[in-house]
Amino acid sequence: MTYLLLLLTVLCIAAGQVLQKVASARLAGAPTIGAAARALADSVAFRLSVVLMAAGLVTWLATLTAMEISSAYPVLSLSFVITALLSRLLLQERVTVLRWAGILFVSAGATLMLATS
Amino acid sequence: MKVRGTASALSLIALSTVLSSTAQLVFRFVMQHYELFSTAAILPGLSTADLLLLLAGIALYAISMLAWVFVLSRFDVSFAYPLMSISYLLVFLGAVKLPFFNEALSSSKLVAIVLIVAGVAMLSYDEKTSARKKLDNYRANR
Repeated sequence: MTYLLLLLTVLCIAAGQVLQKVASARLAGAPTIGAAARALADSVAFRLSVVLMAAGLVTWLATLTAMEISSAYPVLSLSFVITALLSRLLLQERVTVLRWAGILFVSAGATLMLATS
Repeated sequence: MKVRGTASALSLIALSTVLSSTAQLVFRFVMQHYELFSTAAILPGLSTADLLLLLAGIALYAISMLAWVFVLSRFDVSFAYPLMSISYLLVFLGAVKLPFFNEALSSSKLVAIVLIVAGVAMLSYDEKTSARKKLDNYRANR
């Protein structure tokens, strides 16, 4: 159950990042900070990213009731892996050989952490 | 908005890293006293002191995010992210060394963190603009 909450936190962070990237397209050409803020407030992707960040905070705090932070916090780095995979799937971004190696390293580290805590 | 000077940008990275690590330790400090599914763990059940601490943690986190935006205005992601991943090490050291956490130090945890920090560095590396080149460019254009 604790691991499920931790993985939910990871998914919320990663999906939030991808949605913020989508929303950031609206900022191109915004002449002032005010105009940029209004463009973000109008963006469904940005609103959804805020909801996901809030949900991620709740699942994270719940995780911390039951798991040591020295084990749990490094596992959040899996969000980089999920973000890279989602960017490849949804935003057609390229994943280089080095990034695949990074995905492997982070996944191995997170798995080791979960297996030994 | 650009941050001027390499030294001040580097200290912003340090500030952001230390603030976000502190925020995480505050979160754990509060939540470790609650059971996962007890009514006390639902937000209204938190004591006033704990609620204030959580809000302070969230405020610290927000300030670190703000500092981070300024860092990104000055440095390439491939340089900044690996430095930020030092927060995994900071949170780990805090949880193991500070008296109110008492979390166990183990070699497998350390190996896992080293794998993760190395992996984050690989994930953020951009071959078009290596961190070294980017830093030199910023120095030249300052």
